[in-house]
Amino acid sequence: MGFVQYKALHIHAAGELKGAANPPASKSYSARAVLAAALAPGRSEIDNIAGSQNVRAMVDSCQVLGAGIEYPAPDRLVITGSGRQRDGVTVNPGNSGVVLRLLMGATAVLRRTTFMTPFSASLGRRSNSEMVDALRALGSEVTAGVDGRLPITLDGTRVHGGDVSINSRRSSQYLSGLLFLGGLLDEPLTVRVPDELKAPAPVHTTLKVLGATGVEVAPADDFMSFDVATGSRFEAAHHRIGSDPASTAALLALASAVDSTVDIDHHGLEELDGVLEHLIGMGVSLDVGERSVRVSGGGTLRPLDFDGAKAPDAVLPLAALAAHADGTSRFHNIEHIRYKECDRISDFRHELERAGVAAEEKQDELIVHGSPEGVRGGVAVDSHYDHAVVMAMSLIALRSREGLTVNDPQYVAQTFPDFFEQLQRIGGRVTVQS
Amino acid sequence: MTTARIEPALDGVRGATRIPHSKPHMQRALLLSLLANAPSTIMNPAWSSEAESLFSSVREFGLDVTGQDDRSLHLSGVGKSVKTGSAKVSVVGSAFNFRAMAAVACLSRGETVLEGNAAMLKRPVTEYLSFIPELGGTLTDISDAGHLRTRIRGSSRLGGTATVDTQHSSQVLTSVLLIAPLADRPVRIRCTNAGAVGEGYIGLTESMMRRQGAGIERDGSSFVVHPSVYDAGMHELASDFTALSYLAGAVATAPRGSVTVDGYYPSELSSEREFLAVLERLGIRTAYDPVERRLRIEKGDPAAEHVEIDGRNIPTVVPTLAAIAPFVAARVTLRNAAHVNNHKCRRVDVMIRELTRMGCWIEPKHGADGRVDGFTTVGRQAPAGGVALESHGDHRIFLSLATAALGADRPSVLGGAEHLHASFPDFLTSLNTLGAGVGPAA
Repeated sequence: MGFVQYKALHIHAAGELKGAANPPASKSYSARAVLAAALAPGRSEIDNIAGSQNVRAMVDSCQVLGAGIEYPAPDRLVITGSGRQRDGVTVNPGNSGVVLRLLMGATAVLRRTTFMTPFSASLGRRSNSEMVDALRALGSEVTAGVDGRLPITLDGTRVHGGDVSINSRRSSQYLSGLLFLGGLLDEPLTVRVPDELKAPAPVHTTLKVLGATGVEVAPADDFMSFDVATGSRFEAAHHRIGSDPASTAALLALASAVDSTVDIDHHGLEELDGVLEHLIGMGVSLDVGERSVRVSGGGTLRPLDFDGAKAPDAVLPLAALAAHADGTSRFHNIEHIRYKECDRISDFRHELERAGVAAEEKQDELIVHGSPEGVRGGVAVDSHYDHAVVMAMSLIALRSREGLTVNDPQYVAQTFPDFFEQLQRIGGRVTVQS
Repeated sequence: MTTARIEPALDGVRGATRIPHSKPHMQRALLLSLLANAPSTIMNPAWSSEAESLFSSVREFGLDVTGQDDRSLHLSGVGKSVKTGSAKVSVVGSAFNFRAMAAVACLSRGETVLEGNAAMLKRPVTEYLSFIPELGGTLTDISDAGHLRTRIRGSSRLGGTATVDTQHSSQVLTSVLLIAPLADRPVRIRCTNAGAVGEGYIGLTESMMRRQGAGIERDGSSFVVHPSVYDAGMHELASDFTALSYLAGAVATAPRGSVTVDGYYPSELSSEREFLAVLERLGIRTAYDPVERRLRIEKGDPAAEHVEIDGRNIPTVVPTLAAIAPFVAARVTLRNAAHVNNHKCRRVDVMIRELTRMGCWIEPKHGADGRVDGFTTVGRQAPAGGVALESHGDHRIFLSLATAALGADRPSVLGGAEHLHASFPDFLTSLNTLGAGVGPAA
């Protein structure tokens, strides 16, 4: 808790990491489960709920929209849906794109919902034009900034079902938001993807959560069209959340980067297709159990390319690890990660270079030229409001000679609030910079 | 002194207007924005001289302004990385600001000197700062004849138990509560009085802290605050319900009235709910449309022949209720408001005196200790008016007396319009918009 209260932290070079680490619960699954529970009349329960700021933003938003919220234990949430959300509410999605896009779908049936964020330099700069266009096509009256930026006001007085297209090249979150809307309409809804679905894994999570709450969605075989049948209604359910993919990937990569024997205990690996295989391919020794992965790090790392569409949340930690491989690694099929909390290709490459890592970028690709001795360090890097950047740059710091100062490291709490405490527990050293 | 002439509102008041936003919300939003290690936005900022002073102080502690326009203020806070380093922070004119800044200074392990002006030397500002040593900080009074000055240093083990005097004010409690999540250890706060004055404001502090992620437990007059982090804040400031009280007052005192307040944002203040319930009992009905953000105020019939009001939790509207009471169709008695005589002036005494001069029948009520603690009136009065009234440099007295003057038979003149900037700068314009005849006195 303490480390994220400060504006700058120094992550020191690590000797050996040893012990067990527990990634937090999945924010992707948690956010969807919280929303589905809030939309279902009656009492839903969620076990192993994430305590991250993004999930709290979803919980708080659902509360202002009328859901009852109780925490019988810190990781257990009981949500009582009222059956009808409140009109005329102002919603703050924090700095979370998924919270915003899911809620834009779920509130599109209400009278005048306004979305505003204090993160004007991050979420406030992200385009939502695909979502705005789709909602307008479905009869919603939308007021938004240039390119569909926040603040956004929706009036769903005349919203209807039918057939709608949603471009999903930049994000699958719009599609997920529309599928939530489908569960609230009195008419059938068909959502088509006319371009390409760059990140299908989160859509599978959406379908899983919707299916568990009584909203049946029929995807086409090619996963480019989705039918939500009339009569689907959100029902109260009991959800159990697995581990967060971004945090799990970060811990796996951290432990792989330096001499270590670290057990990553988890509640199920979601949205991490191909990550364990990739690590093994790089030469990392993994012992994979049902609820734990033992990482024995510190060996020679081989360069290896990675298809980012398989596990977008793993790209930054794997790219940071690749900075210590003996050669060049290419992370491709990743244009969509430019549209996250920051531009995770350009902004991250900039911070890599500032730390001393050689990297290049293309529109759809990040190319990392590895160097097994690691960087010298001793410089400051910036988080760009992005938890993924904080964790990835911490990895670079651990294998550097002088460590790195991370400015604005508190944004790690969007996903992994006790990241630095856990890092200390397994032998990393973190100090407050005044 | 600027004097206004208030004509009787013989044709009633009717129409739509706006009111300012809430000062207590603004003060807390500014402090929370400093203490959040993240960006915050304040929508509908409520600027007053006190808010300007607080804004200037929190900026000295590191709050950064990233954008600003009429409707919004974009800020970036520092969390626990408060800037000090022997900095001297000027805190002008407000006891709340001084106490709040003293609490913030505890978060720094460096040294901070807070400086207030000579007028603050006369007020018991520093005697309520014992929470600083109790939580592990140090406090040294280095005042001279011309300035109130304290030197404050935090601690690397900030936390523990503080006892806070809540007999006369909730300001110190609010200040300690706000910084407590950023202490190094849990902070326990014991209040000296069970039924603290300003309970509504304590509730507001609690609620705004919780909304931003603070771990806070309350058991009656005791609090435990756990180390936690303030999230980024999106503060959509509530409307100032005390400003609303003067428009509701106009509806009550004029022969007829139907007023719409546009852009109204209700607050979570228990005192606001209590006040609206009191209005209802007095026969002034309010209806809120949350989609249009519109509050409608209409005149109806009182709930009883004798309406009794407890003023403990609604101190700011006690003068307004004194102004309204003689005009409603019921006998009205208000009690438990002795603390209202501790504000800018002896507000209960002054209202009784000035309303009596206007021609109203209003008598003081006394508590068991013999002090004035309220008033009683009879209903349906038609005071003569036609007098020069005195607001004693107090904006709330001005606003309340102006409200009452609308119901008198003859025009009254009222000094002190220059103090309206403290809470409702456009009040006289609003009354004109609603059809009342107000303007500068000849």
